[in-house]
Amino acid sequence: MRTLEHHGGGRWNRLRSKALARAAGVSRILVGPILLLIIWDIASRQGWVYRPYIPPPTEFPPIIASVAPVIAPDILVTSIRAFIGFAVGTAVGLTAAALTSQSMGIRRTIGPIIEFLRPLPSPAIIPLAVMQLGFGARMYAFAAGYSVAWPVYIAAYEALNATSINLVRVGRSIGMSRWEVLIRVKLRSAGPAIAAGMRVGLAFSLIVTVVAEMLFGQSGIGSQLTSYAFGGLIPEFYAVAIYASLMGVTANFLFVRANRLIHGWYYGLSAKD
Amino acid sequence: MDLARRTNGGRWRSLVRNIAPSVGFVMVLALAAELLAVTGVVNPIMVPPPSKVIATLVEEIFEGDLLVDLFLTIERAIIGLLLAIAVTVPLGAVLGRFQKIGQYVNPVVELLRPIPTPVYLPIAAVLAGYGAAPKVAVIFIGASFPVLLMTMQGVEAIDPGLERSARSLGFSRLAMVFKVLAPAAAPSIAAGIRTSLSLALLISTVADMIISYNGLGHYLVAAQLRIQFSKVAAGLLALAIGAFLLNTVAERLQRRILPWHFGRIAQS
Repeated sequence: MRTLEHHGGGRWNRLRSKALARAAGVSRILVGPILLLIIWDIASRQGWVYRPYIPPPTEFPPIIASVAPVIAPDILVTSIRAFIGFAVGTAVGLTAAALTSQSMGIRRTIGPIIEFLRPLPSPAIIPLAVMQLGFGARMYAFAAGYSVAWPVYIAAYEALNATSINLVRVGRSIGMSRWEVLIRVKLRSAGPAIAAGMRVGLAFSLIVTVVAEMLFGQSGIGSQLTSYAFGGLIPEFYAVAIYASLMGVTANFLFVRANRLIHGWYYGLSAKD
Repeated sequence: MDLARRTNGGRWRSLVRNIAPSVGFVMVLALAAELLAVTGVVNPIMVPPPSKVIATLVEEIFEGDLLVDLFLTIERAIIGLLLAIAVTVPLGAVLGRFQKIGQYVNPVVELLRPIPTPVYLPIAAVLAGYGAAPKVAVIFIGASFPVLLMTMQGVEAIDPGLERSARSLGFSRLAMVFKVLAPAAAPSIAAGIRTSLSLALLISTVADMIISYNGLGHYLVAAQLRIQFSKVAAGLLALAIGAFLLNTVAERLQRRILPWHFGRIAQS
């Protein structure tokens, strides 16, 4: 009886110390951001910075709430545009990588062209896209897709060429064709690296979409950012900026989750956790 | 001397051999585009023939401000990047080395990092106008994160055995920092700087487009608004060449500064 009590007490103590350690960890995470907000608030209220343009953050919460219904359609529009660009760019980048990795001739022909065009900052393509495709959905798909295709292509091309030669030989020896080896062996083993490239592309698709909206948009989160800032509605601008960041965080979170489900084997996890 | 010249000649010859197929391919494409435009199959105003694009490029370089705009964009990118390096390399080294400080500062970094950099542009213009300062400031913000994170990673990953052996050899603190820790973290820092360089050029171009009266991004948007397609194409070509050269120079520098690192990669 006594030992049981002792045992129970030990477990309680262990639980308590675990909870304390977790609370300490959480508070450590919060110290920095809260300190930053306090300094910002004081700086703004004391007039160390120009208050109309850098308002104290304690004024933000009601504005964040009141802006939400106004910009909800813009968030949706921007998300759809960025997602279409992401899908188009991934498809183009993957296809190009699969083709170039298959054929020495294609690789030698377009390899140097790709090396030349690769450093070009992708938002620079937006004026060209607008000229050829107008201001509609096709322009966003092209401009965002262009920015996504590069990181996907580079990651896929390198990973496809780095497939273990033994895996390829196994595929060949059980009678797979070249294309079967590509789809069932190479693309499978390159999956995690391709996903890493896609994750970079996901961030680019949002950036290029927002930039295009800032330039030419009548709708979308980018056009709201410029119209609030240049219209002098500064606190509203900050609120929209927070939503824009949350969009990036959400997209990244969903992508990482999906990637863990699909490539759980790579991360040494079962699909369940 | 003779040997050097011969290997140099060999390098040029292999370069020519490597790019010959693509040059041929581009020539064929250009010829096809030229024929389509000349015969009127496509509208030569919306899809100008390559000869017109080249002529515009030459004209804009020698009679227009295309080169000035390109240099402005690259200059602001490099200034923003250098500022970012000057601030974030020491900061990242401290955060990576002293976990006690890092655990409080890292959450702030993680909070600010997801903000898409172009979001800062409108507020920077409202605060500081359309001059160089707001653009350089936004480039600085965007270029900071890769260098900061890669510096932290590089410093954290230093082999403790390296430090112990240096200490047992009697290295002073200063010598430890500059002769042991800095070289050990340098490849990672350099990788971060390369990422930041392309990011800086990207943000510089975007800043030109949104809050500027000059720079190559502004050149592109202005030409697009006046529906001058050949100018848009010439501007893109100039930017592609500029970005390619910048990237090549950065790669050469990286190899020159860190020869031992690339030697090790080549061996393994």
